[in-house]
Amino acid sequence: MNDKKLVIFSDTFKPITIFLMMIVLMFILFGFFEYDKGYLSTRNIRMLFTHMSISAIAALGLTYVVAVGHFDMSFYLVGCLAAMTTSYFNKTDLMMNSFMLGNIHAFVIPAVLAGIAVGCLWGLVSGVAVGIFKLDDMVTTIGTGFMAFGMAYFYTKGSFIYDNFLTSGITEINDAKWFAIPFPIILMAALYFISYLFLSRSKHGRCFYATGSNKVAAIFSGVKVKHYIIIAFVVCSGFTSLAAIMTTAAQGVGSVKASLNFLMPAYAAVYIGIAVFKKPTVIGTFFGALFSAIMLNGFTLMALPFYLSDLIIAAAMIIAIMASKIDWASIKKKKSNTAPAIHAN
Amino acid sequence: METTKLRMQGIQKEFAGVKALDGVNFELQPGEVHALLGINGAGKSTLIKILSGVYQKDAGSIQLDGKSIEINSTQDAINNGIATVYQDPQMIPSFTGYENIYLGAETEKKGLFPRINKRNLREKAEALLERFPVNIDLDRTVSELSAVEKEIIAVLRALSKEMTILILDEPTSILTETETEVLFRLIHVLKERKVAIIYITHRLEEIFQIADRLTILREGKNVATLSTNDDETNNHLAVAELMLGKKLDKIYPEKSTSIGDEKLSVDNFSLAGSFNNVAFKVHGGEILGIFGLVGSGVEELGKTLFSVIPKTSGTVRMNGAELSLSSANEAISNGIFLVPGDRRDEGQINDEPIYFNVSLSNLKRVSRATGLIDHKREKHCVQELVDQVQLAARDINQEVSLLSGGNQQKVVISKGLFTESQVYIFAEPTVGVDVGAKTGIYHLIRNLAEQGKAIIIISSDCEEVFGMCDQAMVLYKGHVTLQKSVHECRLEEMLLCGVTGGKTSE
Repeated sequence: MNDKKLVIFSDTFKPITIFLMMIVLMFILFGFFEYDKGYLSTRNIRMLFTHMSISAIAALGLTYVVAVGHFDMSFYLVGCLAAMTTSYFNKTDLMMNSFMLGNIHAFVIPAVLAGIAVGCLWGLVSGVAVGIFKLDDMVTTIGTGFMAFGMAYFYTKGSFIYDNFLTSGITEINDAKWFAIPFPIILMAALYFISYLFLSRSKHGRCFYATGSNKVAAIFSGVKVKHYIIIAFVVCSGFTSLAAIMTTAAQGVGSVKASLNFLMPAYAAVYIGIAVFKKPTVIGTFFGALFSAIMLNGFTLMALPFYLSDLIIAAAMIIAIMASKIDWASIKKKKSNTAPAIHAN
Repeated sequence: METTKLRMQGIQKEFAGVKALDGVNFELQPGEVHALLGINGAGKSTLIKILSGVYQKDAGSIQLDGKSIEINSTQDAINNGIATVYQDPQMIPSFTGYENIYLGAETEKKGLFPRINKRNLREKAEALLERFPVNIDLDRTVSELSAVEKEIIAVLRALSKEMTILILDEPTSILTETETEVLFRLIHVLKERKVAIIYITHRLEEIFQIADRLTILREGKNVATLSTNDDETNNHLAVAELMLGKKLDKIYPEKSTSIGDEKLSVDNFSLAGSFNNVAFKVHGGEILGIFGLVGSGVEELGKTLFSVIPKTSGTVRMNGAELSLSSANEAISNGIFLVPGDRRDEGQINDEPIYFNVSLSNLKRVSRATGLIDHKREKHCVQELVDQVQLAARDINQEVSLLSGGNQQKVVISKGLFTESQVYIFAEPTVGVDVGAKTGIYHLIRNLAEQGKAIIIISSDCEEVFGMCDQAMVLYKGHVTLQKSVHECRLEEMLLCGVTGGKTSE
């Protein structure tokens, strides 16, 4: 059963190697076709990671929910509400009257925190509904999500918010650089590092995975299953809210549709990660997001229309799900037989 | 003698260099119930899977009614009239019994909308019941049926396809004693109709009730084929020894000699609809056994003590101090641990490795102040426990789902040991565990008691309670019908109290 070869590759390094090979291959491919357009330039690679950071942070949040064995269909809509909340605070007089911290108005910070807080609150609602009241996660989060989306319209009846975007300093979330590294990349790196420690290295991480794998056994093992489900939904909505606010800062306009296109890329990143790591992990989601970002960036340089990139990434996600269903070990054995058991006939 | 129904000769099967079957012979007569015995890993399930087409044999021959046949797929097996009935057959719960019997074979008509004539199906089912008389209401939906009735439906489904060889894979492991009787009655009917049955079970006593012959496998080889009518074979211990290949030590360890202080005391303990007014005390070093059939409330009693189910009333004292527990988490932190009976659903995180499972209930013990896990310490602690319980695994990184039943139980017990609790509750500790591993688990439990822990064993196996425990309690329909020291009572008395609740007037 257990080939010696398999043991040499440790459980974590084998999937990482697979990912690195895939990513190198794609760089070579795009680099070859688009060398003249500067694909491999530092500028383009920095841009790639900046673009990636937004969807990667949303996908990271979703990883928590998938780790506890649930689905969240609300996070991308909750992000819209969070983005509008922050934009709304951004346009108030309080903002322009607040003192300056460098080249930003100090009120930007509570405005961003307010957006994230509203997002977390919505995550709490979903988490309580799913974790404590045991409502169906899919339907419930579609409901909570669209409630949030409806709320997002309250601020301006849906029209854009342009006020103060150029003066309050909120765009610095996207534009600032620390040691020549764009701030979004730093945010992404920090959140991924913390999440890696939390999910993969801490005792709490064990409880998330135990909950996702077998809820009843987790309860019998003394895991506070309800708490972890609620935390997962709160983190998911909170991270997505931050990502939505980052999009708002990048676009320089408050829009009710800020994070409306987060859904598919986030699931794609998580499930491409699962395909290689066999379970939802922080590292897997990172590589999944990177993988989509490289494709997206390459296609943009090739001047493919955006809907084609969506189509290709969604197809990559489905291929990833298919790949994760394949039991490679049994294919290696030549005499494998996948005939169904008799009682299924 | 009639012609032999099935003859398997010199069957060989190798998995990655390990011989699972090494020249096994097996014979089946029409109308015979032939028990196939062996501890886990002896090769009985491999043999059955070859016969049902799940695996292909490497060498050997299979003859059916004297003709040589090849079974290359599950479909081949069905075409040759060989069907397997699993202990928990898959059915459509919202369909009625007869709809499930003819599932997928409702009509001969082709086309997009072939009409199904329900009355016709019903009549066919009636005719089937006439041939194989068994007391069952086929108009009820499967979701309303009991475990044994579902198995009967599965058997009838096989019979409707004119199967002549039935493989019953541990059919009674989830049945109560009365349900087992119902199944045995059906088996007798099948025997009269010349259906040949291969019967697999861990319960030795059943074999002498129902089987005509038995074949014992060990390490992929034939050990013996015996007739159950022989007086010599009519001895559980002799058969168990043949299965193990060594002299069986006494299955149950010595009883306790030194009893310590009172650890757990329970008073007036009730759960509405399950059990009433249960009261007992357990001392350190002592094992309390609670016997009751399925549905008697014993299962709920364990879970309520562990606070997975909230109690209706009653008090629980630990070392004299009253506890008010509202979750398993609190029970564990107060020194109570339950080793659940349903390992797959309640005991283990299947797709995670051994170390993940063992440390799960007490992660504090292996984490640093920051909450991060100290992997070195964890590996060290888990390895120590795994050695202590003599777990047979490649290493502690192996997935739990790949282990045998006995070893999975040892993982769950290790998880309990890892919590260093004061009171251990074992629910059905040896269900689905083979004879060899059973003894190991019994000794583990007794060792735990000798370390001064208080132990409660909850079981629907009367012999187990009688053999293992110092104090016995019997529950019948939620009421305590017997409570005394095991030294003062007899096995028959316990069984009677559990099965009928009857007064022990003698």
